[in-house]
Amino acid sequence: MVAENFTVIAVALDENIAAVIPFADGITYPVLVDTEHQMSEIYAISNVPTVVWIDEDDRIVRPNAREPGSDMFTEFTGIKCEGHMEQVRSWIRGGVLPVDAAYEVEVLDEAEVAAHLHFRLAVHARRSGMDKATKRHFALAAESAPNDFTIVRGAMPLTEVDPFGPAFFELYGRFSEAGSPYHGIPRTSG
Amino acid sequence: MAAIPQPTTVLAENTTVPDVFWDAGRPIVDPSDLAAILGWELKPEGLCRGDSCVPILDWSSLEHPAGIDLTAVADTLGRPVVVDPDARMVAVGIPSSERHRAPLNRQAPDVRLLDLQGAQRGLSEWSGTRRLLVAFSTW
Repeated sequence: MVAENFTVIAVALDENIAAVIPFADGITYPVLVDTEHQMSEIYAISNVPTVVWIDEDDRIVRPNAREPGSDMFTEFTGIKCEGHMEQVRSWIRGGVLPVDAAYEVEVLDEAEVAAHLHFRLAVHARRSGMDKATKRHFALAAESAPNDFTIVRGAMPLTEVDPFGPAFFELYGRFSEAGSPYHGIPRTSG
Repeated sequence: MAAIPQPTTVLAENTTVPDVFWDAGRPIVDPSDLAAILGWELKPEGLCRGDSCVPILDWSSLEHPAGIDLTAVADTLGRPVVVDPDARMVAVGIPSSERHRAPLNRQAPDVRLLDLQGAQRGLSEWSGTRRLLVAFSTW
């Protein structure tokens, strides 16, 4: 969806750019990669897909919400974009914001911040071939933020764990039991 | 106390590899390296970047016979820090005031990202345009 004075910017929370390239095939808007986990930290993004509406003056007019910007990932998320896209059109054409746009996102707590730092250390250790330090810091990151998918699931492909396998279901079970904690507008329906 | 300084990776805004004296888990750096590591310099009035200075309330927590304690510097700047003396690594996070800009103040901070060609990009390139920022992943 591209219109005048509007663009989608897709950002992959991934370490490996090559893995992202097939996902961007045929996409006309910018696709970028947050290899250092800096965007997820500064925007308090704890799961994907997360969508943020930003206006022309760099104001966040609707904060983190679990909505896809297109049906690009419906296959993975089971969430269709049409309801959200209609809201986006109302914003672009008439400046109309949905009621939930006023929602205040919870900031990352101290443990979640530490998790991001451990994650960065783990990614660096992995790049440097330091196996023990890689495992140690991914484990400490997951311990510090056990329900943050960008940390726990994001580490899976970097530690030879299948992100669609048993480890994912374990994470999903724990996350659900904890009340599906999310830094952003809670989803009421799929 | 380690007798010799060890090259240590410090992840902050940039990645640097200063020589660090590790003393009981404390990373001690040469004060002259601070500007390169964190962008702040040690001056008599405190920690300074350009014209702005953060006063140091307790110099004894920073000072060490071999230099300056990097974790104490991070504390003074309100920045979280994680150290790994065994792997000789330090990660210094952004100050909480910056982490609060998006969720509490509703300002969209610029972030350095890479494009699919590996080139440095920033969200601010699209300032002046309404944007739908979509965080996704391959996992």
